[in-house]
Amino acid sequence: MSTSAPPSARLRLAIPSDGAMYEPTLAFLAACGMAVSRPNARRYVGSIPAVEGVEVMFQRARDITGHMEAANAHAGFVGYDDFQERRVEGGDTEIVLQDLGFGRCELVAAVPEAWVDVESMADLADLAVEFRESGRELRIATKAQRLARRFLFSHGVNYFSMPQVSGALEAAPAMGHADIIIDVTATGATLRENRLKRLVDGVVIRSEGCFVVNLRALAAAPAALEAAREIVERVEAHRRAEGYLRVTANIEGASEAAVAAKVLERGEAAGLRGPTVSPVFTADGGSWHAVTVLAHRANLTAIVDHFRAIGGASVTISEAGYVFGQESGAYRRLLAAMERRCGS
Amino acid sequence: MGARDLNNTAWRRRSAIRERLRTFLDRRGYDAVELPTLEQTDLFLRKSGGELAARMYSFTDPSGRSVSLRPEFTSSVVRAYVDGSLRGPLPLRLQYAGPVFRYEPSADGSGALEYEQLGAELLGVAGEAADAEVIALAAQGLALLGVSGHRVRISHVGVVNAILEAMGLTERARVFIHGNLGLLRAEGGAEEARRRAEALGILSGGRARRLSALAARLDPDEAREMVEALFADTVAAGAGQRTPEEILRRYLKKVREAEDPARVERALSFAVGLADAAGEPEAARKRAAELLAEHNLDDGLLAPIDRLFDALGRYDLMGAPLVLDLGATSGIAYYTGVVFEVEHDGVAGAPPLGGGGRYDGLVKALGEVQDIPALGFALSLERVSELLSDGFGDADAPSAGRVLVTAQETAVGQAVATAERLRAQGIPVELDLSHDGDAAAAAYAKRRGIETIMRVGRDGSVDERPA
Repeated sequence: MSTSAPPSARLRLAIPSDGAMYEPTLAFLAACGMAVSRPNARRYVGSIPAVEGVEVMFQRARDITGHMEAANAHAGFVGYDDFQERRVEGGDTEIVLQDLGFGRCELVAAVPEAWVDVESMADLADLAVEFRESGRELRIATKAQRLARRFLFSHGVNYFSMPQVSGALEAAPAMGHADIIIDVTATGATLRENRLKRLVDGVVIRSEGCFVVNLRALAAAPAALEAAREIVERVEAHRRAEGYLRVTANIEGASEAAVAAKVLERGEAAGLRGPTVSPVFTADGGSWHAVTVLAHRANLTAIVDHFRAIGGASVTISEAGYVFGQESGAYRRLLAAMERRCGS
Repeated sequence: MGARDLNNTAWRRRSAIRERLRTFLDRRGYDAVELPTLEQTDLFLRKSGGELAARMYSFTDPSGRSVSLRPEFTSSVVRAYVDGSLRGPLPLRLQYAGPVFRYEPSADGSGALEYEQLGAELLGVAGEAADAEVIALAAQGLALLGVSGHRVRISHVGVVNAILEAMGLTERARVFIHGNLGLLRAEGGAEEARRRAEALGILSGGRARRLSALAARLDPDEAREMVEALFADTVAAGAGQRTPEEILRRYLKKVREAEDPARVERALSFAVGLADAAGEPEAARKRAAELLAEHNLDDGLLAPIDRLFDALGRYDLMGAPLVLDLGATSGIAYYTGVVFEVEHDGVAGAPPLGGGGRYDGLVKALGEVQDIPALGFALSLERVSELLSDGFGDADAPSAGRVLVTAQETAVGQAVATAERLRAQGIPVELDLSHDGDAAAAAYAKRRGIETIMRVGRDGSVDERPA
């Protein structure tokens, strides 16, 4: 159990305690078989009973990258956008698993709907010059100043100021605090409600949840590294399983080998590794065998059709849950990155 | 971080490069000046363009002003001229050397951030004779250092712009083509450029296109009324700092000046052709002329190129070949005429050794009432240094035969007096401050390559022996 490891040997895992990433991160971990146990909502530490030696630290989403950089946490789940905004490039933190399929959003540039003449970043660059010439300054409200600044410069928007805006960014133009915003949006609904529109080429970055580690901190803590390996493997197995279904059918045949041969007449019916064939003991003494394959979702119909064609009965489909590979690619990459960063 | 430390050997090498180039430029009338490392951020934002701006080290100083470590020298030189601190009779020839700072993203975060640039600016002269002088400076300066195998890639923003204008492109589309020249020469780049042009509405067959066609048939007042009627409600609400009139005026301008897609298509294929035409100047000039003919454009558009190469023909470029490449990108937004890069295959990753160009218009843009034509170039000394032989600069090392003066602690006064007397005679002398005895002094002298040890006694007597 997670309490058996001494505190110093545990993996300190930071996960968001607020905002749009909180619920999706917990749901994702649960789906990976790593439900987080939090004694109560006011406590900021928790555990993952399924993985030994993990101390979960609930942190404000925008603080996680900083905690990772400072090695206060060994590892964490964080939005890709947030990580890119706050990380130290070439520092100790590294993304191990990316595009985890939760917390999807985009950081976009949006202008008032009333600006019917502004559709693209080129318009915005042009407008910034126009503002400048008339003694005004284009004010851009954003919470991701570093990403926004780079994006604006790369599109030739050189003259602007970034006023400090706390609270809801999308209200800033209507309140008169800013002219345009660069903000995170999942569906665009909030933008529309605030009479803002996205620029056609205004996507600064697309983001999903990712798993990041502090290489140096992990290199110094073998027990934490082991816990990180387990998390990586479980996440990978879950992600891999999303592509697969377990297809089971009863097929009549003289022997296991004969049934297998019939199944393998079609290549894709082999599934991930080949069929598992085992005898079914029936009351009437018929020669039935249970056949199970791990099928890729895309091949499902073809496999079911084939099973029927070779006399398959009672075909059942179930979710695979987890599919572990022989070796974790992400973990191998983590070790390689650690080697590069910290030496052996 | 990415800045490199220079030990004494590397420093001597760098210093020798700097000194030789300085003398070379001195002899051509370029006066050396020094400029501040820190400038108002605004200076570089005004004209340098986005690519450089995004790589600057900018921060807020204690007074609350935004300042930046300079990413290049030209803006500072022009700023100083406009300020009045570098005034002089025109033409003004100036040279400078010093660090510039640019963030280079790299996978491991170790990208270089501080480079040493050495360059020159020629203010107050228009025309190809001045262009040729500056290009020759870059090519000859390198040859003088002993670099060989470099070549000068020459393009001309003014000529390309005039061609695009002759094709009937609006300024917006011309800026787009210029900005995407690099993309257009890449494999499959034309497709990507077309996609970008569509995203920007430069190349579009949609609603904007139909509106443009309509607006073109109306007289200006009618067009304005149409646009007002269409957007009055949308524009009335929440326009922020902008007035509804301002928004509609700009919209109308956009609609009425919308691009003819056929022209943009032609310009895109022309730009791809330009990239393919690059090569040895005479052949490249011929291919460019053929390309112009294909598009029914006047050969006379290439006249500045002919004058430039005539002017360059008067210089001995000491073996550095020229490449005419009108499809080359300049990267910096303030160039208006000739632009060039000095390339060498021997530098890791093959970044240019340096480059430059003409920036007529920058002087006025930075506040001068009257515009002054100008151009310049700069070399990256790190990259140049990579190409020089190992022993380069060794001749400038302090001459051998230095002396170590040593004494017992009780004779320090006599030792200092002896050392000072020798120094007054022009002999380089190091003073032994450790008083660890003769053996230690000899070992130290050996490590330092010192040839003579002088042991000074309490009575001022000097015992001289080879180290």
